[in-house]
Amino acid sequence: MKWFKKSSLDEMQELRLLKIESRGFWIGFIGLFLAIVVQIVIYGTESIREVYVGEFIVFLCMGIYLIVECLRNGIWDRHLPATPAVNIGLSLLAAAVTGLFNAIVSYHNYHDTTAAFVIFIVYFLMLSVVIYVTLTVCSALYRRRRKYLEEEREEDAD
Amino acid sequence: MKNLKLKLARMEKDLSQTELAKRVGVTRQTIGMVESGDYNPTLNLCIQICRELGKTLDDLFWEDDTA
Repeated sequence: MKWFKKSSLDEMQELRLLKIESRGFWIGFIGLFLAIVVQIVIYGTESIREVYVGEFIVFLCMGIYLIVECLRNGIWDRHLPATPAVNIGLSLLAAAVTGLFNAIVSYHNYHDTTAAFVIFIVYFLMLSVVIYVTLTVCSALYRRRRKYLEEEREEDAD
Repeated sequence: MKNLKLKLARMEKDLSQTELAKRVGVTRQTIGMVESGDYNPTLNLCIQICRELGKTLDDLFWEDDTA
């Protein structure tokens, strides 16, 4: 297996390949997300088992992999800090977008404005809490991991 | 920014980009991109290039503020 481990690329090519692979990952990730959204709009949420369960599982695995690896390496985000204010803002935004999307899908399927409005409110309230709690737990894990990695580096240097 | 110091040092040694690339174990494309300033090499590659050309890191990779 030594031949497999030894790369025939030089450092510049390795860097380029990493960028290409990274772009490929994001194209796949966003593509899967869009495919799921389009299928929900077309077939509704009832047919999840028959229609898009495969895409959903792959999308979920990709998301979990990203989160776990980032937390393990003490990485949060390029631009946004892991603060409660940012977490609240993000959870409200994500809950509003998801609530609106589900309300539109409901209206598209049943043509009932009241039901669509109720769905928006329920999704918005539930997801705001769920996303905020998830982000708070993740940011706490991130801070703990980062502190550990920083202390470990300092000990190595001594 | 173009690395003219590297290009000059390579020409002084009468080496082509391909020959230098072969000696330091990278592709010609990489040497070309280092010389044209499109790629920042790792310290390891810088050291290998310096050794092959008989120069120091300062000679080839240090940029003067006044330059």
